[in-house]
Amino acid sequence: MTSIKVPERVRELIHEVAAQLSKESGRSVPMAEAIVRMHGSFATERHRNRLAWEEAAQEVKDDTDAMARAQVTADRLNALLQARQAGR
Amino acid sequence: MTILGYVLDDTVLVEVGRGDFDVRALMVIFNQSDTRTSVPAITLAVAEASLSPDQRRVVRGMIDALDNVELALVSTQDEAARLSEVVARMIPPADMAAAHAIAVSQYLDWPILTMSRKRWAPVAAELPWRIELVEIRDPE
Repeated sequence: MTSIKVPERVRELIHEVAAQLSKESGRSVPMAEAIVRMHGSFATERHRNRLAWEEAAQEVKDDTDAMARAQVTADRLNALLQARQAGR
Repeated sequence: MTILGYVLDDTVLVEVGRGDFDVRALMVIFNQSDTRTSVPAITLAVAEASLSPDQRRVVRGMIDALDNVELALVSTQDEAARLSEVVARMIPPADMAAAHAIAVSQYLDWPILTMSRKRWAPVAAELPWRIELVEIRDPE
């Protein structure tokens, strides 16, 4: 696993948030720190995923032909849903 | 007002990951037009298994970023029971990606959106119910 150097300020913030969490929840400081780190890594992962989608989505939005074809498909699929609903 | 939408199957999720422009554009337009879509978690897991880490990021990012897309979990006894009802009628080993899509489709009363009806033929042959499928590509 690649080790990443955590900037000093981030280290301080983790300690501060963990101390607060420990105080509020009654958990030990190391446990609170583990929770803060886990959430931090989850947030980073989530951010990367969103970024990957947003880049992919921007690419398709820039492709006017793909968007036009997709609009036709979406209209057909939405019409199918409406017709299905009306038939009930 | 009744909410209308589609359940996405594994073939659609795989194409989103692999970069099919038309499918990705459709997801963007569905979001703009507020067409709801549901992604069954087990179907997602099976789809992701055939994708690279970067492709998985795109699929996960789409589910997270688009307001009209909802992940359907198996986190309650009722949800497990609905899935079990479908799995029990499949010939082992059960097609879990299909089973969860069917369970969610039956519960929400939404059709399943797929890239290929052929993918569903063996599943349909095993089950006593009609599976409501809609192919993305116009059959005409």
